[in-house]
Amino acid sequence: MGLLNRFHSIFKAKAHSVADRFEDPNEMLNYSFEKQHELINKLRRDITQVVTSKKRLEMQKAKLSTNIDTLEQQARRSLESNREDLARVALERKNMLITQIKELERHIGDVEKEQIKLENAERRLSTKIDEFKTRKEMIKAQYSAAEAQVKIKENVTGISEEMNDLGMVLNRVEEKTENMKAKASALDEMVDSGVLTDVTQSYSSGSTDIDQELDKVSLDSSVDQELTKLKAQIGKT
Amino acid sequence: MSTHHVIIRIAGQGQFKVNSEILDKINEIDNSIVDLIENVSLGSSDHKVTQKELQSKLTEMKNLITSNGEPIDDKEIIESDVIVPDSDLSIEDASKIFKEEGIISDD
Repeated sequence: MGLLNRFHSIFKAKAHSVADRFEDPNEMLNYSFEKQHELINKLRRDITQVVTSKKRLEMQKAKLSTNIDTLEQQARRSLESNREDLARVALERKNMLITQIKELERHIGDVEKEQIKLENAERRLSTKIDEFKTRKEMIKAQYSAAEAQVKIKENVTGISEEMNDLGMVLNRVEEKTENMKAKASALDEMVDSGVLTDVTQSYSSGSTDIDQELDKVSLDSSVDQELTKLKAQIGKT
Repeated sequence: MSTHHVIIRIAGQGQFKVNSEILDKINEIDNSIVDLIENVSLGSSDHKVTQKELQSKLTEMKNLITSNGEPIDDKEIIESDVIVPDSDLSIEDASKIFKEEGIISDD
């Protein structure tokens, strides 16, 4: 037996178990409705979560991009002060950040795909739920009790298949979102602890090591300038 | 012989109405997947390579269905004749399906 047959029988078993659990079509309908609403609510919550994850990744990307600009300025200032060693450090950090940004972009792309998948699923399920409501009234009105039971069972099985499919999609997305969250936290921690770059702190907590070095250079040179000036003045008098 | 139609669901993507001739091609791909998974359980193949092969087979299947089939209206509530896993199915999940372990969570 192939993959498809086995895969299908897993679905079938789940879908039929709902329909077979209830003899009374009304109970079957109520149960099915309840499950449909649970699922669509879960789906909507998951969409919100995915959107939040995406925003977080985009914010991290923006933060890293700002840091890249800062590092570039620092490299320039370092060179202007003839401090190639400092310029080198700044550029090395910049390259590290560029790699991080590329990875973030890939993650953002992945999250976007998940978001589209979930939004399509949401649209499909809500259309089906509305249709299901309309159909059950029609079936009740048009068919005898025995026929209605069969028809309702068919519809419950059909919608159960859709719900099982969606359930699988949701599990997968939840797993991926969790992984993504863990990675985002790790990145936050790296940035916060300064492993990734001390420069990120420059905006909140004053100057960075490179800045401090540069300040020292300019301080030294201004002292030198003042000394020269003083010397010249003394020489003049 | 007149052709008839089958309803195929691609997991995560919805249902398609497909000419039954396409089903033969799908079955061929399905058989090659069986061989692939057997090699995995025998431990005779590289995991990464197998994963790639599985995905390319499933993608081929998916393309066959989407390019030859007609998407079924979202309003239709109908059971499928065939259900095809999504192309990002992992080797682990595929092996679970073969061992008949559940891959759908219980409610």
